[in-house]
Amino acid sequence: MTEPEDRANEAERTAQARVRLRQIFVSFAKIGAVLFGGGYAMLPLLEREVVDRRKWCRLEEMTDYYAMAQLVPGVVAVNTAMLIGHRLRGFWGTVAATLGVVLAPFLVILAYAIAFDQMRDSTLLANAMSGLRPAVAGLMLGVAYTMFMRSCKTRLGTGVSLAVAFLTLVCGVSAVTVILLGVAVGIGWFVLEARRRP
Amino acid sequence: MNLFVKLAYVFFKIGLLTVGGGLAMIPIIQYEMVRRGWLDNQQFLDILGIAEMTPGPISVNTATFVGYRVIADAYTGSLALAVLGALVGTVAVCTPSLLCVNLFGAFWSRNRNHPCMSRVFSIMRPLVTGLIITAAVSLVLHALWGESLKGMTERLPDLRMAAIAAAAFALTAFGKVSPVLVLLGGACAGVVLGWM
Repeated sequence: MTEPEDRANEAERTAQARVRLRQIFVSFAKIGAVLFGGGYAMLPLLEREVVDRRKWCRLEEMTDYYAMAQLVPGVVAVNTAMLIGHRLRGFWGTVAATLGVVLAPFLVILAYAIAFDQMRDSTLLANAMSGLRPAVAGLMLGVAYTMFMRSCKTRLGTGVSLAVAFLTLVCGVSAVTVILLGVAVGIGWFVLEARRRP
Repeated sequence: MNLFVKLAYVFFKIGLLTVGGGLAMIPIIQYEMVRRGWLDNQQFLDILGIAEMTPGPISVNTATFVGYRVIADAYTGSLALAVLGALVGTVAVCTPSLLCVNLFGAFWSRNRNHPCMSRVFSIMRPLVTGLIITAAVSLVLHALWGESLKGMTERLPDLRMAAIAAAAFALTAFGKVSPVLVLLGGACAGVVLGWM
């Protein structure tokens, strides 16, 4: 047996040696507590906890899970946690990983929501919020700009993003309709291509 | 329909319709919340700001907050019910992924490179960009002109708000400054302007 294969089998065995649900929960709770900004911010955290510390999977596998998480509907961070939990302990692994990764965010927002009720009349809070609002809007516009520059690299990307922006902003078509339409167009495109091929 | 059931349904739908994560959810959440009158655009901006400054994905944060808010407003003063509402929202937004990973996880990883999948995704990526452009533009308009956009062309926007938004845009698009810093800066500017 070649060496990489050997190592792959070993990793497989470690994963199958029943990891405790509590361990999965604790590891992902730690990641959830420091997960700011979501998305790419999760990768280095996963690498440290799941690959280096727990040795639940190899780095390449983890990157694969992360890429796959983009394809599954839902939140990418939660999906990544679920896919790793699924590999370790099946269904209950997904439940433990999900509960872990949302625990800290849930508690923080709950505390904020309760505190907000108490401080509704505070001028300081009202002023801070009045500055926060345009900052969020500007930030979103910045993100949209960066994403548009990336989509612009292909003619298809430019066309689709501008058409969608026009349909939703000017014509008032709902986001839900546009998404379902997009999926249908993608499948239609594949079918047409498959037919044309002899 | 019972409010809890409606809450679960709306966040389940949001979880199911989001592909590509995080930012892709913002336009859908905005649409669903504003349409149902659960949040107006100003409140949506508030919760987006808080979600960016606290740990966790935006959609999970929003689900927790809206779950609490909607139930707290409907059943005034009942903390226990409001916490239950937060729980329902949070669980509902995660449920579609839980189902998909468990039911189709193996299928998904086998067909990850299937041409049909890659066609759908080459449409979805720019599509999400388009949705985010719409969300960003409408949020900027609401931040500068207030909740009602009526007679927008005849009145000037709030110039202080416009300055904060312009700075946040430039820092994000060209400065690559961390969102947490940008938003903290905005909140501080708001406090300082309030004093002046």
